[in-house]
Amino acid sequence: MDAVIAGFGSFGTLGIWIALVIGLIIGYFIGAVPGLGPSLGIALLIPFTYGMDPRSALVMLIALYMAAEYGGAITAILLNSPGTAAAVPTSWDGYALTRKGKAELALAVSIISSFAGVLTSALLLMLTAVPLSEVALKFGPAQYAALALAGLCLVALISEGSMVKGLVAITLGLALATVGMDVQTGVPRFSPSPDFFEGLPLVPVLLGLYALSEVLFMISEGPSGKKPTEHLARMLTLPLSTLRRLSAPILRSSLIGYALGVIPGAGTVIASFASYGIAKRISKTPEDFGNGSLEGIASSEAANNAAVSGSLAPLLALGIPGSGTGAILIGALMIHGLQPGPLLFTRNPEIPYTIMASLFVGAPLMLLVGLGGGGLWARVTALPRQVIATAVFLVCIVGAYASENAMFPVYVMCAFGVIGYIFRLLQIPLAPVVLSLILGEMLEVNFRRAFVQARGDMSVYLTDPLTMILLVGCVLCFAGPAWSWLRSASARPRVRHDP
Amino acid sequence: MSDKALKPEAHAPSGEPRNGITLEVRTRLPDLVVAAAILAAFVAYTIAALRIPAPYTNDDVGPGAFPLMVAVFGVLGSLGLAVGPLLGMIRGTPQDTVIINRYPQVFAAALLLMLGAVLFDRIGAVASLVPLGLAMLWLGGERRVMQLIIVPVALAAGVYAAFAYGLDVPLP
Repeated sequence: MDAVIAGFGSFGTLGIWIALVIGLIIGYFIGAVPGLGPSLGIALLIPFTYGMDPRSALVMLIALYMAAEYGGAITAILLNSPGTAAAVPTSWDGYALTRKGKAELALAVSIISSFAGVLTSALLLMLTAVPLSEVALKFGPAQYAALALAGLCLVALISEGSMVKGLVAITLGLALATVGMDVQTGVPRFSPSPDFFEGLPLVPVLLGLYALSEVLFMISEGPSGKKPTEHLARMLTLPLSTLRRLSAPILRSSLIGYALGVIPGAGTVIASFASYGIAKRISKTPEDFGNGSLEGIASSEAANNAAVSGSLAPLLALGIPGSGTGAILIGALMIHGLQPGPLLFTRNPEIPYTIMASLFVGAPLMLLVGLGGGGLWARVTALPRQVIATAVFLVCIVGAYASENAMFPVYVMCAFGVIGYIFRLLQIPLAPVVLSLILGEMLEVNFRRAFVQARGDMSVYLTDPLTMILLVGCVLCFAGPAWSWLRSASARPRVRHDP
Repeated sequence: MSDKALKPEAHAPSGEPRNGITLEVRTRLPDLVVAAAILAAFVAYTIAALRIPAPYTNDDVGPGAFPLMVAVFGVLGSLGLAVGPLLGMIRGTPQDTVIINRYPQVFAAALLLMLGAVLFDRIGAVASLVPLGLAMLWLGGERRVMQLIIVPVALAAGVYAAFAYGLDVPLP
């Protein structure tokens, strides 16, 4: 209870409030612009947090994450161009309402549903993160290694593109994680020059893969044409009767979103689509879905914002990110000298509780900014694409340099920018690469520590029940789809050659 | 690439009409090329991993064990990546297509990234950010003269001020 009070007590300083508001505003902007997204936003904002107090930095980044997930709904509703993938179901009904002249109603429903999703899931996070961390404290190195591996395999299974591409992405990330001096023996590995001894710098890799690759895609799409902006009321409102009618779908979707957000790799996109699908299936008026159903908007938005908190649960309690964006948040924690995982609750309890408090405090602010700023966000959607590409490019160059006050990170970022572009063109997913890069050290350290503790006995991975279950799960992640592929290949009709 | 075609005026994912030269690429050959490149990288990685010193004690697997395990899966994965396109070639199945709109500008932008990295340190932040911003804006398709002057100057000034004065980051 003291730690909870300490978490909320962090908001006694003006700096934290400023960080929260800045994170929310930038998050809305990032989410509203198609192509940017919370992962890119957090990667871009990390360099700005180098000199900040860790609590302020994390509050700003979490606020950005929360607001960006909502911000994607703005363009989804107004322009049928979702700012984030999780807002796609929102666009099906939101844009239909805009065409009927009810854009304000759609926006109001989306922001209120998002608010409810964040609040519900923040409460669930507070109730589940601590027990989860206490269970994790009992884990040994073998269990941790197996857990990290299982998380990576699940991400590869669920991520976009083929399963083989997911596996390749994981191995690439793990290979990149081994660059630099070995933590336990000090032996330099895969380091052609001393620049590589500290390993690949994380922030420039993230900036390159997410931000610079997106700049190249924006260049490819060319200049954006003049978009008509909706004229919205200064303050969005929603009738109480409508709110009452939507309360059950919002609560149900929040629970679904949180549960799916906890699963590594599932994230906000799957939560949003799954919740929309379930809502349509059990609705009394399924024919309204896709034609302007408020229930559809509410289900999608409540779930995708609830998944934000859901993804924080394994991140804080286990040190395993629940999503690609979560992996970047882990990078932010590490940059500020914090190691996510169960020990965070004992060594730096103010950090996880400040993060949880920021969800409770940030949600009402997010609601106010969203309801009061509808017209402003509508204008944001009209920003020319070429200007956004230029701005992101300049921030990346300076941000990468600022990470180490050296040019090496800038070169790394540019290389990964081109690699990220090629990977995205060929549908090789980036989230497994980032997750493996971040989890690779944890996986290797615990893998080797388990052997040292067992004095070189490999059976340590086969005798513990939890480790066995996790390792079998890893095998099934690939064996299952491989078996399905073999069966479908053998079921293809054979060509019969008649004599 | 033998399967390339130049097609103007195809539609962008956003629904806006495309402008500029479009490169339509059948993905089988690029998939094979990328698979081969990743395979070559993992073979080199394996060779480097084999050169890592052995462990000092029998209890530890040493700094080379984990990279070797990663290398094995990496080689297998990249071989798996090549299997799909190869099978497709043998069976003659239809290929996926990737459309790269304005590909000369994309290529130039990729080169601009490298140039930016070189110039930033050599001629300084202020002297490099404005022309880099101008070049990127022009590659992005902006042709209005006032925007080409004002936007890069404003963006460069804003980014420089935010880092140099707001965050006290010493820039070259």
